[in-house]
This record gives sequence, structure tokens and C-alpha cells, in this order.
Amino acid sequence: MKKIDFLNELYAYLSPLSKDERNEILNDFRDHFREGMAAGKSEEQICSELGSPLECAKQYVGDAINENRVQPPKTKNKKHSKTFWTVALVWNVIQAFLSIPITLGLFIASIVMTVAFCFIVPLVSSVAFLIFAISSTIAVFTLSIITLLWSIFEIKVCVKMVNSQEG
Amino acid sequence: MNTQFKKGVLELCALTTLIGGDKYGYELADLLGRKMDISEGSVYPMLKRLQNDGYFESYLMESPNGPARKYYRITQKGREHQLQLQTQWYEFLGQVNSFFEGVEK
Repeated sequence: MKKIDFLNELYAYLSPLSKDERNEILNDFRDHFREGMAAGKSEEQICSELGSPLECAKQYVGDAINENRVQPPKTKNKKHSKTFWTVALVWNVIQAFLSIPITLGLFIASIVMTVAFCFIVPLVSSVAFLIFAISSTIAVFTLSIITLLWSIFEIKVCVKMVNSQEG
Repeated sequence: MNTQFKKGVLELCALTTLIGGDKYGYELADLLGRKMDISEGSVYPMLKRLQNDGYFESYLMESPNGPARKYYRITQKGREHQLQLQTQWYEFLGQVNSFFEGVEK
């Protein structure tokens, strides 16, 4: 059993108690996991030493406990685990690499358009066409920059989340 | 072993350990878990119970690495309770032992 499963199950069994009491109890167990892991124990080992979440919960709640497996609570701002963010990071790096042809393609296209329009605009000599040439070139260029910046931003967010999440 | 019996003994051991000095939760759970055949998860409900009964009080203290730890300190009431339980324990032990002596004779 993993730490997250143990804590979720314990929290669910403690449902007869107030939210403050449940959080206080959970903090004790979170501290226990942190200390145990700092001492080099695995999550599974700590769980087996703690015993079952149901037995732990019974000692707080008494026999009034609802033994039917309670669904783990769905908290609104549920934080994702480190694993989630690591996977997200790898995925975003892959995406960034895959999007290189698009980013680079758009960038080259904007240069080609600039050069081409430099030749075409004097030939056509129309104000409307000039505006079209400038705006379309800018649009393509902006798109390539946005693609690039977005990839960088996503990777940065993932790196930050991986570093800030524990467990 | 009988759960209720074990629970009482566990309380006595926790109280006695804390007479030797303040300890944080994990330290107590780890110590009791290694010395006795118990689930370490039962240590925390017991600590809360003894705290509610006024035998312990808790306080937070910075740890050299990581967040502050929750320490437990035994109160005067706790010391009296420990002495009472310890006396009961020896009485109980004496009563049981008297049966062994009876068999040996």
C-alpha cells in the first residue's frame, strides 16, 4: 500500500469526526510518513508497520465506524502527485521537440514572406496589398514566437511543480 | 494477546517513556513498535487519548531538517497516572506469579 492510499482511506473512515479533527489526525500520520521515509523506509514498509487504516480509524471513532469502504473524499483543490508532474514534464518536452518543425517552419515562412513581399509590393503598388503583406507576415511571425514561448512556459511550470511537490 | 490488555500496557509504556524525556510522535511510535508487538498506527490514537485526558501536552519544536515536530510532554497528572498503573502492573504480575509458584511446588 502506498502513502496516498493509506491517508485517503484513513481520512474516509474518519468521516464521523469534524474536519479539523480529521486534518489534525492526518497531519500526525503525514509526519510519521515523512520521518519514516527520511529514515530510509519505503512507503510500503511504513504502511505495514502502521497496520490497516481501518484499525487506526476505529481507535479514534470507536465501533460506530462505517466499515463499508467509504469512497475517498474528493477535495476540490486536489494537488497532483510528483509522479503526475514528472509525466507531464516528459510529455511537454516531447511535445516541444515535436513542435520544432512547426515553430521553425512558421519562422522560416515569415522570413520568406518578408523577402517575397519586398519584391511583389513594388510591382503591385497597392496600399491594400501592402497592408495585407505586412499584417500576414507579422501574424505568421507572432504565431511562431507564441508556439516557442508556450512550450518553454509549459516545461517551466512542470519543472517547478516537480520540485515543489513532495511524494 | 487481548486487545484491551495490550492497550493498557501500551499506555503505561508510553507514559513511562515520556518520564525519561519529551519525545516527538514518530520517535515514540518507532520505539514502541520496535520493542512491542503492536501496530505503530495505534500509537497516535493513544497519544491523542492521553492528551485529551490531560496526561500529556504537546508543543511544536523546530527540527534541524524539515518542518517543526510535534513533541509530547508528560504532565503532573500523567506522572500520577503512570505511578498508579505501574503499581497495578506489579500487583497483577505478583498475582499471576503466585500461580506459577503453586504449580512448581
